[in-house]
Amino acid sequence: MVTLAFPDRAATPAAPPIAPSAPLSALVATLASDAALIEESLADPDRFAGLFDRHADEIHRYAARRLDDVTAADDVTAETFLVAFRKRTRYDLTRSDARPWLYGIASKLISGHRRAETRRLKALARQAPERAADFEERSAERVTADGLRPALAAALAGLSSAERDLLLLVAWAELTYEEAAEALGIPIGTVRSRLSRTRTKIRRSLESHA
Amino acid sequence: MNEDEIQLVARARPDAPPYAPEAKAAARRGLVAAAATRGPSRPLWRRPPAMLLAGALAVAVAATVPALLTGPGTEPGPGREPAGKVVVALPKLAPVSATEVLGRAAKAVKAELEPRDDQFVKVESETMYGAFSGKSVNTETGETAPETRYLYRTKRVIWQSADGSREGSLRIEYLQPKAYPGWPIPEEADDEAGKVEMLRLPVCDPLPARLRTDHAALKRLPADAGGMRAHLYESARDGGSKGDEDEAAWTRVGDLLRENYMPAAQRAALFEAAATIPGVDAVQDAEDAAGRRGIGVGRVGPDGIREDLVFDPETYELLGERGIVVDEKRAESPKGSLVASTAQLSVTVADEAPAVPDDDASGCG
Repeated sequence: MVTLAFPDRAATPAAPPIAPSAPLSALVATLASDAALIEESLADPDRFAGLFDRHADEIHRYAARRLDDVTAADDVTAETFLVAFRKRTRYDLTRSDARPWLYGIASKLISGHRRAETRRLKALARQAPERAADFEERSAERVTADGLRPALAAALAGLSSAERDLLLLVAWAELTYEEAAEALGIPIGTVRSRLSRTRTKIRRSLESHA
Repeated sequence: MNEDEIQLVARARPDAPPYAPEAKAAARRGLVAAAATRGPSRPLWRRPPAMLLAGALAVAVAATVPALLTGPGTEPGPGREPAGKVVVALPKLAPVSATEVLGRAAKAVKAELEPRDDQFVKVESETMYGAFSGKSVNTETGETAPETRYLYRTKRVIWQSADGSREGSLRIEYLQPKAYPGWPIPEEADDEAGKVEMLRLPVCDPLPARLRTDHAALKRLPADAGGMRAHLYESARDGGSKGDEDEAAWTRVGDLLRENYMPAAQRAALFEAAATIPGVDAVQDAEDAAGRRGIGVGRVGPDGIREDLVFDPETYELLGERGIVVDEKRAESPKGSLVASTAQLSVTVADEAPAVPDDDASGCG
């Protein structure tokens, strides 16, 4: 029923380059940014649906990867955009890409579903050890949801939610350090030190399972 | 830098199941519905996480009383009432015009508070708004969860930095919910009752000037009716939704008054300007959330709900706001139902806002 104007971010054509003395193309590029859409939505709330059309699939993918039930992922996605809508007046309009902001909101909501996430990680960690051995022989590219290595799942479950949020934004949502810093509202230095600490924790956890 | 563990986790990324079209369409509808019931958004509003959508009036309605009022004599009963009981009589046009009521309100305005930029405006209020959740489909079981509605009630105390430069706080105490007229009360309605939340209101990048509502910004608004009217329409400008400018202007009136302290000169100008918005009229027998009766001045919104400011019939002070169903079909609730109600109980100046430990829910977004 709903026609999606922007099926996927990847499919959205890049904004045309801005010629130094071409205000019109500058305007076109500006209008195409998430920030412009959010600014328009301040006066015309309906415009905010455009942000959903652009990024809902991506946010849903991320939520579905982190939570063990698709209904929870549906809820997180719906709620992410409602929260974003309510907070849109506080959006930093100098940030043209709204994805880090949306990921930040989604991360907080996923924390609210912590039980579902922990359940997922624990269930995966409990899988028979043969599966782990099996995992070693499979190529990395073939790893699927069921193939999340139990020892690794246990390691993830052992992280604090702040560590897990950051790690998975980088590893699964493929945010850059700068974007992850923006998403979580922490300085870039904290991103680096927290990731380094997280890596050590994972390494130790894997060693203890070896 | 050794990235091995991150790469390990990245390679173990699970496949994501597709976003079911029904769930996605429902989420989009919910968002569009939230957008449709709102004018320019109010950043400090926060609802319990169980609720998907804010009430129709969550943004449009709630009130500010300029004066320091004492608490209400009549507490609304906390008990749950059957849907029929919250239905009140249809508004009757008041014998005075909106212009007259608002004119008297403007004349009654006295300067009471002078918050300094480094102080906080503290407002206590009681609110009742609709909590909506959209119809949803569980893609695994195929079960359909019905659309639900109920009225959630809170006591709120908010401390807002007078010039937006300091971190404020918000205390929300959830009271017993009520049924939304015409709708069964869902189980989740009771989840929040009795809970108390403290939230930080962090300092964020400033809003565009036309959307700010902090005291320092209010002081700079025009102090004449014409200038204020231009502001009301400007803050709703370039909306693109033609024909809704009047609605947006009325929404802005509420946004400026709600949980806030509007300086006397601007408040008088605002009341006079509000009287010029097409569709605004006065009704008698309006009541605020604290049970105080008064005169309602408002207009019917696109959702079929009349949004009133409630004024004291003697002093013309603003008591609160209320929402009442006028168009049964559009509001999906019986005519005359009370679906939103607020009372501003006190407005004072404070030197400090209570410190709140870091909470996950706060942020500039």
